[in-house]
Amino acid sequence: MLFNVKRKLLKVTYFLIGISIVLFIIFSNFFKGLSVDFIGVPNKAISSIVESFNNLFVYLQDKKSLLEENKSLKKQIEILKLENQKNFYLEKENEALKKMLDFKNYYGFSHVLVGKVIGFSPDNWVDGFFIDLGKKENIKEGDLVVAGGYLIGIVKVVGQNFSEVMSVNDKNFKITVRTRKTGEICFYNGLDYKKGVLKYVRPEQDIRFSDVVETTVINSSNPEGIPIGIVRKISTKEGEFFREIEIETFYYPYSLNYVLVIPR
Amino acid sequence: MIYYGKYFLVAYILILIQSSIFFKKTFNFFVIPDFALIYIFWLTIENKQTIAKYVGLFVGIFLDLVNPDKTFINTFTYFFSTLYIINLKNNFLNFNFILKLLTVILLSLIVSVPKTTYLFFTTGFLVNEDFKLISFYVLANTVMMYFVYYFDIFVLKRNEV
Repeated sequence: MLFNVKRKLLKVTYFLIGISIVLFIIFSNFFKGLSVDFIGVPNKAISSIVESFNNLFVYLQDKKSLLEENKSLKKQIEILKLENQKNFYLEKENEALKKMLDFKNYYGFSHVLVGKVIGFSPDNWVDGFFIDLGKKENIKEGDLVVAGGYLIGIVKVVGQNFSEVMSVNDKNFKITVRTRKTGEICFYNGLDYKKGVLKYVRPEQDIRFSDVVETTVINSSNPEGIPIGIVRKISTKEGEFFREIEIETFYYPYSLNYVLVIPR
Repeated sequence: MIYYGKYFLVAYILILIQSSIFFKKTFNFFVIPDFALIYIFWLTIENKQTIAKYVGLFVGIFLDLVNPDKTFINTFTYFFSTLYIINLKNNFLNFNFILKLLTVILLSLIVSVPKTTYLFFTTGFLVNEDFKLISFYVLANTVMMYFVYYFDIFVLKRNEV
C-alpha cells in the first residue's frame, strides 16, 4: 500500500516538474526570443521568395508602361535641354545684334544689312568667308563688312542670295586708310592671320605705336572712321625708302557669327 | 555623264565639308586638309585614272570659281598634280609604303608651292607663315590620306584582305 502511495507521489512530482519546466519555457523571454528567430528565418525566406515573385510579376506587368514613361521623361528632358541651349544661344545672338545696332547708331549709317556667316573659303590660301546676303538684298562688290565694331572684310563676289567676303587678313586685301591720332594717309594690305601692313609709308609720316588705323573717304566712296586695326610694329629696313608698319587686325574667324554689311 | 556625276558630286561634297562653318569652328584647324586632293589620290590608287583626271579638273575649276580673285592657279595645280599622280601610277603597278608617302608629299607640294609662288608674284609678300602653311598642308594631307587609305583597307575591304 505504502509502495503504491510512494509511486503515485513520485508520478505527481514528475508531473509537477514537467509542468514547471513547460511553464518556464513558455514564459521565458529567452525561449520566446529563440522561438521568434526560429520562425522568423524561414518566414523571411518564404516572404522574400514570394515578394520576388510578386516583384517579377509587377515588373513584367509594368515594364512596358515604365519604359514608355521613362522614354517620355527622357524626351522631355532633352526638349528642356534644347530649349535651354536655344535660350542661351538667343541671349548671345541678342547681345551680338545689340552691339551691331550700337555700332550703326554710333556711326550714323542710314542703311546697313545684317548677314550671317554660312561658310569659309575651302582654299587654305584664301582668307575669306561666305554670307547669306546677295543681289536680292542689293549687296554690291566693294561693300564693307564689319563685325564687333571693326572692319573685317570687303564683299568681293556677289551671287543672287549669297556673297563672298575677302577678309582683312588676305594678302589681296587692299584699302586706303588713315591713322586716327595723326591723320596720316596710308595704304593698308592684308598679310596673314590677324596681321596686316601699311605700305608706302614715307619716313616723314607720323605713325605712332598703338594708333588705330581706320577707313578714310579719300579715293573711295567707303564710309570713313571704321577701325581696321592697331599699329603694333614700326621698323625701317636698311636700304629701303619706305617704312614697314605692322598692323594687328581684329578678324577672328572662329567666333564669327553675324556681320554688318555697309553698302556704299 | 551620270557615271561621272557621282564622282563630281562626292568631290563637291568634300569641298563643302572643307568650307563648312561647323568644320572650321569645331576643329579649329590652322590648315584644313585638302579632301579633294586626297580623293583624287584615292581614285588613282583605285585605278580610276580617267575619272581622277576629270575630277581634278572639276575641283580646280570649282576652287578657282569660289576664289574672290580671278585666278587660274587652282585649275592648273590640281590638274597638273592629277596628271603627275596618274603618270606615277602607270609607272608603278603597286604603291608601297615609301612610294605612297612620297607621292602624297609631292602631290601636296605641287599644289601648295605654285599657289604660294603665285601669291608672292601677285602681292609681293612672302612671310614665314607661308612656309608654315606649306608644311602643315603637306602634313595634314599625308595624315588624312593614310587615315582614308587604312580605313579603306581595314574597314571597307576587310573581307578582301
